[in-house]
Amino acid sequence: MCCLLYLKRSLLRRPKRHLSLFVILVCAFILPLLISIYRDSSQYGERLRILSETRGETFHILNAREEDLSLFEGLRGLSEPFYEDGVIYLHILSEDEWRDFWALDGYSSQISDIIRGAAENRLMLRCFEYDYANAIPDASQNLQQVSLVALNMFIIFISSLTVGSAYKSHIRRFSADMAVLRSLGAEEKQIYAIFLCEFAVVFAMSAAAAVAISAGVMKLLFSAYLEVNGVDGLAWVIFKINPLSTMLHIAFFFAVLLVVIMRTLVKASKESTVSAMRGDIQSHELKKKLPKMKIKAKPENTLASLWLKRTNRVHASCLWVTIPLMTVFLFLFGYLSLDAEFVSQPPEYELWLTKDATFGGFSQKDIDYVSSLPEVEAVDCRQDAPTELFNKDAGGLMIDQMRIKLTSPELHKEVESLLKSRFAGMEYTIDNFQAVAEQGAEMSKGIYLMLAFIFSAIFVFNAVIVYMKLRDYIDDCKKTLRTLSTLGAAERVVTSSYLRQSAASAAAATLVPTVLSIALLLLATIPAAIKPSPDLSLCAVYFCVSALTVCAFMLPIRRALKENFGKRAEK
Amino acid sequence: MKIVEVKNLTKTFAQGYTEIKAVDNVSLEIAEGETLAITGQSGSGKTTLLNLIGGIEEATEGDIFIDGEDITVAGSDELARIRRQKIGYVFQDFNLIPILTVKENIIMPLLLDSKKVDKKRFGEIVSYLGLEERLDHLPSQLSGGQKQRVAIARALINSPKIILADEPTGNLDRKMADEIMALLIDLNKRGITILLVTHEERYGDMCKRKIVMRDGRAAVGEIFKEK
Repeated sequence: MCCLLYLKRSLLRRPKRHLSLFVILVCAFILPLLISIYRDSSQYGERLRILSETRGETFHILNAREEDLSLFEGLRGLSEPFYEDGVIYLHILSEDEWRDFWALDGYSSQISDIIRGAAENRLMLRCFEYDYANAIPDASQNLQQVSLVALNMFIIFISSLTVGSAYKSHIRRFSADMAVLRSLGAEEKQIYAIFLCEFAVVFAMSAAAAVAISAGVMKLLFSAYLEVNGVDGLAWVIFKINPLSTMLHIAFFFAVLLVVIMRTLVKASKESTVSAMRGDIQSHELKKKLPKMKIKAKPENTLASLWLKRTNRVHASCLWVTIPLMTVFLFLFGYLSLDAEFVSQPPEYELWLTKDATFGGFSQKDIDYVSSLPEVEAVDCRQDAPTELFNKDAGGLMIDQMRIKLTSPELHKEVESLLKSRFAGMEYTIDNFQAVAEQGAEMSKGIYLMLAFIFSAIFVFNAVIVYMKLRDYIDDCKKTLRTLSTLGAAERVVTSSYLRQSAASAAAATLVPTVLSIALLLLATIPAAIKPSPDLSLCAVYFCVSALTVCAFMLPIRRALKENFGKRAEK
Repeated sequence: MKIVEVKNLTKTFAQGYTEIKAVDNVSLEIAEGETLAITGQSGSGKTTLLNLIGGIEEATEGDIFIDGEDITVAGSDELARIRRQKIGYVFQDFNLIPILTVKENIIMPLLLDSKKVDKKRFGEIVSYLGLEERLDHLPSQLSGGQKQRVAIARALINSPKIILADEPTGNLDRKMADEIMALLIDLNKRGITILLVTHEERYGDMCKRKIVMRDGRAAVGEIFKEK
C-alpha cells in the first residue's frame, strides 16, 4: 500500500525525472530491437527465397512439357506430379525417406532412369534434400543466427549497464526520501519494493513504446527502401517480427537491469541514514588522496582546475557512456556508408551470361547472337574456374562466360528477358548486376535513413543520461555554489568555471570517438581492400555529431546554473 | 563612521496567495567597531534582515548602504565585489566547501578576488583560531567547533569591514558555543564590526547593542538597547 502510494506521488510529482528514465529506456531498447527485426526479416526473406526456389518439392524436372507428366505418374512412394511453367514437380511422400540420403538417392536414380528411358535429352532433373526444400536452417545458418542473437544480447548487456548508471543517479536523488522512510521504520524490502515497482512500471511502458516505435519505423523503411524480394543476386529481406525473439530480448533486458538496480539499492541501503537525510551524500565522492589546487591568475581558471581535479567523477562517468556510444555510431555510419556506396556502384558489365562448360561452352552462334543485339555495346567472353565467379551455382569444372555491356544500363530488363528466352535451361545462369546495383542504390537511401534513426535514438539516449547526470551534479554542488556566492564569487566566474570543466569533457567526447571510429574503419576495410576517402558528407556528419555532443555537455550545466542563480535571485 | 545604514527596508515573500512581510520597514545604522545583535523568535525575520544586509537576498523596498555603497542598486558583479571585499560571513551550518581542505577554504575569498595569499596574515589568523594542525583536513574530518573556526578564519582573511554572523553557535554544544562567542567578541575588540543574529538572549546581551525583531519589525524602545 505504502509502496503504491509513494509510487503514485513519485510519478505525479516528479514527472520530468520519470520521463527522462522512460526516454532512456526506450532509446536503449531501439538498437537491439532494430537488429532483432532486421535479423527476423532476413531470416524470413531467406526462408521465402528458398521456398520460392524449391516450392517445397523434392524433384524438379526442368525443360518439361505438360505431356511429359504421364512419365512420372503413379511412382510408388512419390506424390502425383504437377506441371507449371516448364517444370514438373514431385516429392517423396514419407518425410523419413526424404530425410534419408540413400532413399533420396534411390528415388533420384529411379527418375533419372525414366528420363533416360524416354530418351528425352531436354529433360533435366534437380533434387533437393528435405531440410533445404523446406527451408529448415542448417547448422551453419543456425550458428549465424545464434551469433546475431549473442551480439544483440551483448548490446543489451552494455546498454543495461549504461541505463543502470542513469538509474543509479536516479536512486541517489531519492536517498534522502529513503533515509526518511527508514527512520520511520520502513524495512529495506519495503524500500526495495518501492523502487522495483517504479522500475517495473517505467520498464513496461518503455518496452511497449520501443517495440511500437521500432516496428513502425522499420515497417516504413522496409516498405519504402529496405525490402528485397525476388531479386536474383541479393539476399531477400522481408519485414517480419518474431514475437518470441522480441520477448526474449525484453526479458533479457529486464533481468540484467534488475540485477544492476538491485545492486544499487543494496549499496544505497548501506549508506548512513543521517547523512542521507541531511543530503550529505553526493554523487561526486572525493578521491582519497586530494590532488593539489593550482592557483591561477583568474579565479574562474582556479575553480575550473579545482573542479577538474576533484569533482570530475560525474563527467568521467558521462564520458564512459558517450565515448563508446558515439564511437560505435560513427564507425557504423562510416562502414555502412562505404558498404552502401560499394553495393550501389554501377557495374562495368551489366549482365553476365554463364554456361556450364563441362560438355562444351558457348558456340560462335551464341556469341554472334548476343553481339548482334542492338542494346548490346560489347561482349567480353571468358573461360574460367567457377570459384572465381560471382555465381557459384553454375557448377562443372570449367565455365564459359559472356560479360555483356549495354548501350544504356536502363535496358537491362529487356536484354535479360531476351537472353532468358534464348538461353533457357539449367546449364545457363544470367546475373543481372545492373538490377543488383539499382536495388543497392535504393537500399542505400533506406540504410542512411535507418542510420539517422539509430543515431537519433543513440544520441537522445546519451544526451538524456548526460543531462540527468550533469543536472544532478550541479544540484549536488548547490551548497558550494551558495557558499561561493556569499564569499563574493560573481555569477559569471562560477558559471565560467563549471562550463570550462564541462568543455574539457565535451572536447574528449568529441575527439576520442572521432579518432577511434576512423581507426576502426580503417582496420575494418583492410580485408575488403576498400580505401575510405574523406568526402564532404562524411565530414559534415562528423561535424554535426561533434557539435551536438558539445551541446549535450554544455547545455545542462549552463541551464542548471542559470536556474540555480535565477532561483536565488527570485528568493 | 557608519559601516551599515539601512533605510525603510522591506522584504516580502509570496506564500500561496498571500504575501508575507519577512522584514517590514526596518531602519538601522551600525557604526565602525560596533557589535550589534539581532535577536527574536524563530520566523521573526532576523536572518532575512542579515541576508539582505549581506546582499544574499534582494530587498523589495528600501536602501542598504555598506561602507557608503548602496547595495540595492548594485549589479550582481558589483554586489559580489562588495561581499568579497567588505563583508565576512559566518553561518550556523558553516557552509564550508566540502571538496576543499581547511587551508583552501580559508583562502578562497582571496582567490576569488585574484589576490595573493599574505602568508603572514594567514599564519596569524590560523594560529589565532588554533587551526595549524588542521590545514590539510577536509571539512568532513572536523568537529562542529573546528568547522566554525574555519568559517571565521575564512571570514577574516580578506580583512572585511564587517562580519555578519548568522546563528554561529546554533549547531554547537554549549562549551563550543561559548568559545566561538568569546572569539567574536575578541575580534570586535581588535576593531572588527560584528553583526550577530542569534535567538539566544545571553549571546545577544554580550553585544554593545541589541535589536529584537518581531513579525519582521524592529520594535524600537524595548529592543533598541544601548549597552
